[in-house]
Amino acid sequence: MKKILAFLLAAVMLLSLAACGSEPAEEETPAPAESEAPSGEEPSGEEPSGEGEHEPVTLRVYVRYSDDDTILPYDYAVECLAEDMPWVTLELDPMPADDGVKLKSMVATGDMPDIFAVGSVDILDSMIEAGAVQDLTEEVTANGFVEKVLPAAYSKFYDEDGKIYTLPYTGTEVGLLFVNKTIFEENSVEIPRTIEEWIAAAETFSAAGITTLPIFGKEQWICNALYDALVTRYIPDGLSSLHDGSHSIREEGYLKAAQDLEALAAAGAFPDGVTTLNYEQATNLWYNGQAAMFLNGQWEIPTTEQYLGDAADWIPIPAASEEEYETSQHAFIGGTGTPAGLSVCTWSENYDVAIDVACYLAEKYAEYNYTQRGSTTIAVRCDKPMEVEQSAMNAKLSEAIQEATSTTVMAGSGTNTELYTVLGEGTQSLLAGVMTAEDFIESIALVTGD
Amino acid sequence: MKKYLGNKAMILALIAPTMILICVMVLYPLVILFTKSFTEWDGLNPSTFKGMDNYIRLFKDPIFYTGLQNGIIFALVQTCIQIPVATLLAFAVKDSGRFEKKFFRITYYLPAVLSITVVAQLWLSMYNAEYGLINKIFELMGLEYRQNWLGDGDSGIVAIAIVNTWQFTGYQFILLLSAANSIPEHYFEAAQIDGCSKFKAHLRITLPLMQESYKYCLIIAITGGLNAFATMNIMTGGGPGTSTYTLTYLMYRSAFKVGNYGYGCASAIMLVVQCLIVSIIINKAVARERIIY
Repeated sequence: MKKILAFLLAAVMLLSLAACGSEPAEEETPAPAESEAPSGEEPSGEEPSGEGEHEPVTLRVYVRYSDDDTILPYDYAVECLAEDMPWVTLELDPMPADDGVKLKSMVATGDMPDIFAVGSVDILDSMIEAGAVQDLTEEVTANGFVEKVLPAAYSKFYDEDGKIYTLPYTGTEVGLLFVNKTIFEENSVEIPRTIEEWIAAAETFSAAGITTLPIFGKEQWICNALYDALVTRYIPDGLSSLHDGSHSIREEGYLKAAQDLEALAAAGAFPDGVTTLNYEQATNLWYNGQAAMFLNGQWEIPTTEQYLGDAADWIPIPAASEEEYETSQHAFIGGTGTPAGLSVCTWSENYDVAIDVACYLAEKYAEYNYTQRGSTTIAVRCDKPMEVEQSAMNAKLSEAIQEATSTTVMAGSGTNTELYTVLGEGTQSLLAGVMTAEDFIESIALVTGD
Repeated sequence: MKKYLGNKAMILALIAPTMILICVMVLYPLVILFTKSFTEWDGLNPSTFKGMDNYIRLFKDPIFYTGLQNGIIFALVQTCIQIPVATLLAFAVKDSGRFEKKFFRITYYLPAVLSITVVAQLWLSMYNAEYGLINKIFELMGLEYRQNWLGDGDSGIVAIAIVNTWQFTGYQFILLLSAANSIPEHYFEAAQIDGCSKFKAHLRITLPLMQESYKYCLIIAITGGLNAFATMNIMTGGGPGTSTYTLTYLMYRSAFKVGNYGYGCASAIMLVVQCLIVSIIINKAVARERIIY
């Protein structure tokens, strides 16, 4: 009797365990999505692309949606899409800042969104190899998107093999060094033209208890961007030439730039605990007029103008010497892209529609940035007029960009991820003063093999 | 009892579900981890066998040694603070009244149930080099001891270890308190009749009888230290530079930042080996014989 009881108990236990596991999900069919289609849209005989001619489609979109810079253009694009392609519903899956980890997991598990943003060549290459992304050249030529992409964005559009895998939806923006003119005036400090003056200004501000440059050093890319900026004073291609192997880390320019960074840190240019400072904390100091300078991409212009108004401006990265000021003032950081933008998953059940929608989104992002924000650094041609007056900083930038003598791949991102990571660790150590310039060069040489 | 133990089929049937779970959730991933550690793998596409390359590279990698050293520091700080403090708290609570017992049990355990993110953010603001509470306290005391707690290459790892220690001392406390409570009261009564003080009773009775619990506490404190990741990921991101990296962080960096999953698997194997060695040593050295009251 006891034996039978024990067997029964074991059987019940096994059954309960089996019940805990979920049954293999039945293959999901694309939702008929009648309820998801925009409501109240009667098929109109006047509109050639009316809802009635198309099956409702729901597409999952995986893009950044975290701040004004990413939320506003996306919302604008969705709003336009509801009018132009009412049969398409977008399901947003916001992308975290996670170095592409989630995207890789999505590919590995086959749970891919239909449209997604990709920003790293390494991840893109892996995805192409895994078959998650394929050449879109034929499709984007057929729908006319190719002709709309501006030449300035070609580096983001065409892969090394000449094929198209990504649809650029933002222009290749440059990094800018912003200044708060009021703080400089109040402290009788000249806006620096050379690195030496920059260091002297940092010393003055530091003595007065003012933060010179609140770098959000918790993010390694901005540390790289600052180093990239200093390198361009000696080697115009900055970190790009290190990535493409055309220059060696042993060249003097890289060491000098590292020494400049070290000197700036020693002069108190960065706040204490700079490597734990995040974007919100850094911008808090900048927007509230508590910092004399700020480094970020040109996308920072609208918000900076909103908070600081005319007090803010951007300046060329200070030159290595007064004699070199004229020649180096138009050497920009950033401005050169690597294949990046929106892409479409090969496994999408609505592949063709997804390509058209991705092209549409890329166009609308550009349209928003041009018409609503007055940005001229866009990837896709916009025929609509600018609806806002171009700000002083943007106008100045538009002029300066015409005279650009060199650009870089911003902070060396998007290409060799190992080198990028080691550079980030090294520049962060320089900012914190826990590594010497010489040790920094050695740590990079270990990766580049120089 | 003998009859049940003789029934092999029954034993198998009873342990099978657990064994299957362990195989699927622990052993299989470990085997995969081990095999992948000999390959070059991007995490998506088929891997390429590279023999011992990853391990050779690992032993030449300065970050491996930084990670190893930080893991040891983390484990030491955690063990040296958590276990003595948890012991003192457990003894104090054991000897207190019913209401106090309940109150302190909940209070001391509270940090352990908080999210690591919340705890890390709390301590981040306390450690803030410019406006942090800790520096302000020194300032109020008139001491010129302003520190850049997390931005300093040397103090960073200790500062993070203290956060983890603070959060999980309550967990150790609960383990030790339940062990102390499970010791039969007549031992203490006998000691009291013999004129033994409370301190001596704890020293001669409670502590020796809690050996097995200490063994478990030691294992979780040390392996927890060697495995540390979440707190430094939130607080410093491993920085400045690589100064607060641990082996777990190296594994994360290799796999998810650099995209070299094979190398990440090799670092993970080293971590497994390290934890295994520590567990074996503790098992051999502490409470070798099972204590039955």
